[in-house]
Amino acid sequence: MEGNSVHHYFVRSAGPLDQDPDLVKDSLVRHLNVTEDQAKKIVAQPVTLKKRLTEEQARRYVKVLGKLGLVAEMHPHTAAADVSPLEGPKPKGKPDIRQQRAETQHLIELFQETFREPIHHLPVTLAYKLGLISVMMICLIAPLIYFSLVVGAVYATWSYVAYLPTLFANKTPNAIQFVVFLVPILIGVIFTLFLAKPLFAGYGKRSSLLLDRNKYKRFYRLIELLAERMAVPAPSAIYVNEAVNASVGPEKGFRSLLKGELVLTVGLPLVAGMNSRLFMGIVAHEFGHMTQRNALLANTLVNRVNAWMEQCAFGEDNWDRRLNKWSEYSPIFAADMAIFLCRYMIRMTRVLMKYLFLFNLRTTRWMSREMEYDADRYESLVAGSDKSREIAETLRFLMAGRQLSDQLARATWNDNRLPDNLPQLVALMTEQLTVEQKQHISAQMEQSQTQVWDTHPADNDRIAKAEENNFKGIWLHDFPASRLIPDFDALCKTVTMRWYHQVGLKDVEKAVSPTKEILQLDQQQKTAEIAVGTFLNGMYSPRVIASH
Amino acid sequence: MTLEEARNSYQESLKRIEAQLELFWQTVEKCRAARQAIGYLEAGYAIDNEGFGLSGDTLDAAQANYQQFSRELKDLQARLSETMDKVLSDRIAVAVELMEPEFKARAVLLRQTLVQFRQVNSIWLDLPEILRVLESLLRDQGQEDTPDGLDIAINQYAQYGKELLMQFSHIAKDVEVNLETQERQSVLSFAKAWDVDVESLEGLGAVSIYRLLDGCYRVLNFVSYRTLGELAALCMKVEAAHGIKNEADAIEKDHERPTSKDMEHQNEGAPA
Repeated sequence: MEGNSVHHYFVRSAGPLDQDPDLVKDSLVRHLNVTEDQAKKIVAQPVTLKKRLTEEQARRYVKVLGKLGLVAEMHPHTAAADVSPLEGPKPKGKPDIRQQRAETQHLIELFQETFREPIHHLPVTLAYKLGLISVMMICLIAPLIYFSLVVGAVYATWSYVAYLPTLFANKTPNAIQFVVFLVPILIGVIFTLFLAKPLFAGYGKRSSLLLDRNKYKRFYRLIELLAERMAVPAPSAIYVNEAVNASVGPEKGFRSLLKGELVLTVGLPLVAGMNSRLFMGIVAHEFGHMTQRNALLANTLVNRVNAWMEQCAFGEDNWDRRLNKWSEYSPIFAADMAIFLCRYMIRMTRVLMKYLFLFNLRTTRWMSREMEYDADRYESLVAGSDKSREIAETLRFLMAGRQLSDQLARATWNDNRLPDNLPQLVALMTEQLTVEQKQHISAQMEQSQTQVWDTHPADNDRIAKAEENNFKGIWLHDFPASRLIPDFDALCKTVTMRWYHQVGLKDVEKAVSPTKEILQLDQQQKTAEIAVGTFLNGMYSPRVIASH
Repeated sequence: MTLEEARNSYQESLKRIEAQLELFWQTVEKCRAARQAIGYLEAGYAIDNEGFGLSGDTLDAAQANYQQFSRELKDLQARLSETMDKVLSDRIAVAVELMEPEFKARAVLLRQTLVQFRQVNSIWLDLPEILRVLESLLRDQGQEDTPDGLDIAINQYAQYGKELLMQFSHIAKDVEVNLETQERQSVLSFAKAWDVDVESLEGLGAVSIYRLLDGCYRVLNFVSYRTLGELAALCMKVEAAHGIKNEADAIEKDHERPTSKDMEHQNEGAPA
């Protein structure tokens, strides 16, 4: 293993670990004796926290930071990495920073030159608009039914409680009668609580890394320029992750959406594996969704409602399991009966919600697909209609590359090694796909058909529509998209480390290795696999061989 | 014995090996099914004995069947040891003798690991049995209408599992991993790197025990498979240098081997 000759390590922050950044910040202030500003900086961008640590100290420090909710990386000291604590990594030298600035300037000028003319919003049909309104109305029916049920349950329980004194006024009940009279209240309370539970369900937190505006000024500026030309609000933040995907959405719920505070999330494998023309097409597609705020609003509402209904229909949690347990061990017959009836009523409600959910899904997916077609037009407008097939294919190739990279990472993890740069590995594995593999993927794409449950239309339908538009394209430059993001490699490595932490891998700091070493290790593993098969003539099976 | 004779001797036994291996795995499956049935019966379930390959549906019948299958398995192991393992070991030994010093040193270490692995044989057979029982019982825990003895049976099998883990811990500290891609270390340390820490078992529940057992099984499979693979690669180099060809079609065919059903635990990574 490498690292035996390295004596000192430094530890650098790599963003919050799946937690609210503010909580992480507070935690750092409390435990690390840093100021609020310093903590904010540590959370927002890679900052060197400690240097000249022994390997053991560095590992412990990384572990402690992990407990505070911060992803941290440990690296062996090199001249370039020798930086002061609580400072961002310093540039390697003056020519480098000058070069970067020149590159930024050049790209901005290129953008301004290329996107000289504003990109006008493309007209949509009346049927599309009416469709959006109808779908939005329809999708609200099911929540209204559910809400009525909750209100009904509260009202019925309360009415019964209010009626009890009248009932008891004529005759004082004995103990058994008293318990029997309490049963409906118990049923009402439990049923109401279980019905109301999904109303308070939280949604998954954003797990992507916020791109620091100062460090990645170039990328922000370019994206803002495109947004400006498309007359859509510039994203208030850009997030990056390891997925083969890009998306746009509100920063914090509906209020953000109404205020136009949208965020762009970019999967770095797209940047690593695409040229800038295809990538800009994808960004334009995402911004295309923003050209119609109403559609985006409707789509967000529909998605939220659908997610919530799914929770109502299928979301069994610990409370449901507890209720089952109580019914088994309840010592009082009356309570047992109450819980039994509750469970039955909850089950009936779930069945109702399941069908309402499926109905909602079926009606609303149409809207989602129409929105994709609409956004595709902007993609074609920017990258050219003739590139729509290439974009669709490249996305599929990259997904296959991602699968191969994951397989590779799983295999090398057996040897306690992990690739240090997943997005680059995805791009590399995509490049290494054979002609036959690519043909197979393209053939699958050709055969795919849009299904009623699909959020996106089938690629071939999208390509056909895009090609009908016959847009020539505006951004025709095909240099690597990675040039759009300065210090791209370092960013990919940070995102990779973050991903490993998110999936729960432990002690990955020592395991990460450069792609070249990972590929070499993969080769060694394959050689051993082939050797076992050949040497044993296919007779290997996992049992102890009684070697003599 | 020459290299060619050693290789031919192995290849001549192939048909017999194949038949015996098939029987061996069938018997392994019978043992595992019988053990699973015993687990169910001990927990208080009624079983369909034919579904588990048993002659009766009582605990006594299941235990008697299990004893019988275990004896058959032992016998098959002894036969395989003669027909396959010994021939294979001879082939390896001849090749190792002819290796260049730098390769020989490595091959000797790899061979040593394989020899040391004989100590874990009983654990290796018991682990998947206990895993299967625990998995079946744990899956039912928390469900409706479970028998009263379920929790007791789970605890009992978790205790068996704990004992296996203790045995593993005891043996694994003396078995060395000598892989080219790894630092030289004990199987115990290697397991720790896979997040399989069997040194502190105090207070662990059945689910944690299950996770550790599963981890140990994966570690054992992985280390033995890769050790054999690296050793085989070295031996084949010598054979090739002496003009002995191994069939190319075997390479193609066997490259797919690790993904077959038997190897389902083989290439899975450390729990992520």
